[in-house]
Amino acid sequence: MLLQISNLTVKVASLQSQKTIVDKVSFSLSSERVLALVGGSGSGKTTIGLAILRLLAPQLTVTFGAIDFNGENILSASPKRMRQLRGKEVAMIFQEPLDAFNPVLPIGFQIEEMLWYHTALPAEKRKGRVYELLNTVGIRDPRRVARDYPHQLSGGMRQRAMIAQALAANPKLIIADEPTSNLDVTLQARVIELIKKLIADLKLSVLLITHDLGVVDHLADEVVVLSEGSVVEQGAVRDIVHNPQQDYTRKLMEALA
Amino acid sequence: MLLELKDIKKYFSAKKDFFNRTLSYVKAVDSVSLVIDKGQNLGLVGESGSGKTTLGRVILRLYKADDGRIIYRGEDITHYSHSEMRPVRKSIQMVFQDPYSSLDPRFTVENILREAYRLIDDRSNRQEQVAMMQQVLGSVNLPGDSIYRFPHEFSGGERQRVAIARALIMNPKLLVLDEAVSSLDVLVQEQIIRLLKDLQKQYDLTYLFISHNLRVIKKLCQKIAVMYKGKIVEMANRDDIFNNPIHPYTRQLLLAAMKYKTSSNDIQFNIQDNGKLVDRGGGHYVLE
Repeated sequence: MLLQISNLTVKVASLQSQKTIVDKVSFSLSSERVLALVGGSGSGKTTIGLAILRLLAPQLTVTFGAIDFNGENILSASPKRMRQLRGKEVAMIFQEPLDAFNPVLPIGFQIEEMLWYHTALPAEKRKGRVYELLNTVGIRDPRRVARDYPHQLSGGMRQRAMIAQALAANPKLIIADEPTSNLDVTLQARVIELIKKLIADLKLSVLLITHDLGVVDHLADEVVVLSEGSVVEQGAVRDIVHNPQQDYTRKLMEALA
Repeated sequence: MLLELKDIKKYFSAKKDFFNRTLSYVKAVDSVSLVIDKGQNLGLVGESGSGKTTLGRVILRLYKADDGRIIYRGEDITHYSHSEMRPVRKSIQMVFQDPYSSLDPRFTVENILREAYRLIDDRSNRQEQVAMMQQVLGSVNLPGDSIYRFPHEFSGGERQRVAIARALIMNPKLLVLDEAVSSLDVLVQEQIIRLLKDLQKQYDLTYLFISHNLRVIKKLCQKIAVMYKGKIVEMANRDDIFNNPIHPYTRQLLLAAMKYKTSSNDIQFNIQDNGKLVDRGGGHYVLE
């Protein structure tokens, strides 16, 4: 099992009260599979993704449960070990690449940084690998794009560049948080097709976070439906998308009709 | 007929020479003509960069059209002065995509609504104003005590309700909604659409709904216009667009919105510069 989450509970602590954001969530993801976390805004799906990378905001704490990644207990790993894990073993694709990229550094530099930090690739080969990565995500003129700054690219191109960055160090797991929600439908369809191709070609393991069951239907093998921090339904995509048992899941489906 | 656009053009200069003379243009809106009838919501759909937002802004005269005429309730408002526009602006209101940037973060909802309210009524006292505001907030399903809160205290869907409430205060006839639900999750999108349907009956509104997503437009609009590269390529009743899309670009949009697929990579559609919308029967117009 690549990733196993058991009874994960996250609370927001303040002086007056405690509010549960994620309530005893358990699921597991095997290698080369795609698991989707689905739910409306505020359902806790992004919090789970950030907890795996130990990037939770300071007021949020994991109060209970375990996150096991590749046999390693993430919750007790040292900060140094976490820095090695992030990007190298677990990479994240964010919803808004304009926020995720550094605005004052060229795209190519930011992808190369991953190679410099996480791989033993010698300096003279890194540029070539950056172009190769940009090529993999369907960017036709990688040399020009590598020189561009994030704001110079269109939304679709930026999202592709961020996927290239996530792939740079060959991570074992990719967490994709709403990778297509900010794109217009035409671009969304193209990026979904790209991710689908990458999953098949590179044999990726992906934790997909989204509110859109249509995207899940196209990309995922298994799905966990979350509402207000709790699992309402989980299982194979075929069963849940085409034959939802819970009202909440049905509402999510009907919204797409 | 509520609103009619005749041959609207809006070009932006893309390149200028040393003497600040324009060398080339971006044709954001290129000869667009359309009609919005009272109570008949029009959905304007197209990908990013197709010119749909520019067209919305031209209607509100936030941009000045370079050519063409805007006729609102029988009046040609194309060349109205600022003071002549003022009453028209009350009657055409806009709701933007991102309420976080269209609502002042340092204003409470009361301040936000009062700014609008002052324009229609500066005589009533605060209590009467607050009562009026709470009534409007009630009709967008927000609790009355929301008036004491700041925009950041609301969720995305609630913020969009505040933006709608502000528009409603002016008692508009036409509401231009520019990607009003695109940044919300699917469940909240549903709620807002249901709300818009209710408000339409209650306030006798007509919507111009601008979006890239045909799935959303389908739920609210009786008529649909498809825009591509500044031109309307197809315009028809909703069912005709969904059951019998003619223009290849419309087909691609439908495939992307309903099936999350593209027909092939990077299709560029050829648009004749002097193309004309031709009626294919029953008010189904296609660019040829």
